[in-house]
Amino acid sequence: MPLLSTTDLTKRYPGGVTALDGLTLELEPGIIGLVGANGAGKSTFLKIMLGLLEPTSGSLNVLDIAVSRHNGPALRQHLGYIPEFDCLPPDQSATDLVTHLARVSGLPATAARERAAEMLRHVGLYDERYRQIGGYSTGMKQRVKLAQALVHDPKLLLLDEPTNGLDPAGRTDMLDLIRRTGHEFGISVIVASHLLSEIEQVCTHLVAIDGGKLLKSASLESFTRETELLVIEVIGDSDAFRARLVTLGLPARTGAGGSILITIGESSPYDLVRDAAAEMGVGLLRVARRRDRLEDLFQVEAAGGHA
Amino acid sequence: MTQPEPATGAIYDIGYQHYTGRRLGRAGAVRALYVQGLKSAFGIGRGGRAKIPPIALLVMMVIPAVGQVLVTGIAQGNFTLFSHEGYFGTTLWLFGLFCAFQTPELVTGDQQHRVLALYFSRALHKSDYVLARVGALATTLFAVGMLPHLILFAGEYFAAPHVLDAIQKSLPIFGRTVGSAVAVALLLSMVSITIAAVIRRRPFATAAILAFLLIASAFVAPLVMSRPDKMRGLLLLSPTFVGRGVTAWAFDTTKVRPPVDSFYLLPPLQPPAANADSATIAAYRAERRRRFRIRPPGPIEAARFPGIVYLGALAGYIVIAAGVLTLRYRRIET
Repeated sequence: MPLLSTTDLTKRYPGGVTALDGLTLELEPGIIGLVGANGAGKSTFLKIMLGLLEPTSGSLNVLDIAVSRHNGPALRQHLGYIPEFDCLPPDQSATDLVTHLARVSGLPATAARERAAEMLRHVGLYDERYRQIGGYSTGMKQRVKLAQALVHDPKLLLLDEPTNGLDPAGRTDMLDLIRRTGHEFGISVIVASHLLSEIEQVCTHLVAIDGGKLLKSASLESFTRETELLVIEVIGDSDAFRARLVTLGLPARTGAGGSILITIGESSPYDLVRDAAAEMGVGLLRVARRRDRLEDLFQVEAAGGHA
Repeated sequence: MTQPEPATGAIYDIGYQHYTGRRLGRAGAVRALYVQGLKSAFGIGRGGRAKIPPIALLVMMVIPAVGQVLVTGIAQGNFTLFSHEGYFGTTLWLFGLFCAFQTPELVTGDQQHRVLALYFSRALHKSDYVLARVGALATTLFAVGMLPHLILFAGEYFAAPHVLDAIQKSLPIFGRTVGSAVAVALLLSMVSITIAAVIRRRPFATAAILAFLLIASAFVAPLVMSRPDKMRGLLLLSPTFVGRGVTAWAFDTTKVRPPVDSFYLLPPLQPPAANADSATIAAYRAERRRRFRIRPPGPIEAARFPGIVYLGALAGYIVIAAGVLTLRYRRIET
């Protein structure tokens, strides 16, 4: 059973903005990263998955349930959701809020209390759980949001920019929690983010969208292979060296400051680079692996898609 | 960011447990939102200061009833200051204040802090949320409205020589009281929730509810009193007067009955002919002066609408409010 499948899913807002444009994909359970620049349509996609937004055309199945406004409640019973914005009342304690939200999810009173305490412990807020949320740090608030999304034991967790506004330590913690949710708790996760470098640390599968169009849906390994770059700086004639690399069959192009960029494909380019440098007598100043910035990736992917 | 201490984790950490128990679905969701709404209407679970307005208003609401009971007990007679049929009219402004202060507690915070996103991503429809909140406020207003009547009834029963007789005799009045309290609670809760849902900021929502429930009636009343024939339609623009009208209809007091002398029960006064004698003219003038002094007791009596008009207006308010609420929450971003 696929976790999610869409057919030609399109969403146009009344203003004429196309948020999703003919999205067709199928996802298996796991931790799925949904990457795209701001405004790429990630949040819209998540809201359609929740049955909160009606697509203009196309269809969507989540957990084998055809999503529509009518069967929203039946579907959302199995979904947990973290919005990207702040959505917590400041004048309640974390325990009260998460317990209340568990009951709104349909859990009986005792179970709601127990699971709320349990989830707050899982996210590392057990000692602070009776404090008012208004006094929490951004990282703590983000944990409360995660706890409320897990409290009714969903089958699929939808996270919208879960690391937004967090400091580096907070990001690491949040990513660790996401990894545990996916691997230890056995709950599938879809993480929307514009930071590829972050979600690639936890994801098993990546979906890249831009301008509402699907760029790529692939396992993390294949994604990594195609997005990793080799950056080379040389002492000597950089252009001639690049031309030589191209004749050797490497997709070398000129980067910023006279550097040479090679997309690391199926095979390793290191030996070829070393041999070419020795042959031409240029000094290798720097040979480093680097990840393309997401924006670059999308330009490359989009260009590749059109070609 | 503090991780749970390893030692604590070693003792308590039994890993993630899946939930296999009962799920109550939408009914459970509505109940949770309803109960929480009831609590917040009385400031429960919102800190000490939030409890002051509802409790103070509730106390003020019952003071006339307690006073009446004491008077009945001491005076041992039919000395009626506050009766069942007049109570809503007397405590109208307290209802207005209660709605203005407590309605935002139920809906404004959810919008302002965007908690709605967390509700609407759960197993319920948006209309379930609205229904739960309106239900909670209506229940609260009904309880607040009925409490003084229950005190009055208790006072009557204690003062009566035969308690069972008194109870039996009061049953029709009890029915009318409950009926009018239900109608008023539904009307005011729908109107207040709608205003609070549309106006995002709490102070503005409070001001708007006050304006619509109390200030509007203060403007409408003198206009209707001055020209009841032309202006009586204005009465229906004020939900509080619609509520009073329904109450008056329930107690059958929409029209002034004899022996109360009323301008509006008299035949129209015809001016005398131009060639009338001085005695006729003097009589006409005297009658005109007398009629000028006689005022109907209130706008309801002045308007002389049949009860069905108020009932229709009440239904109209509820339908319009439901429509606005549907549109409003459909547009709310989650």
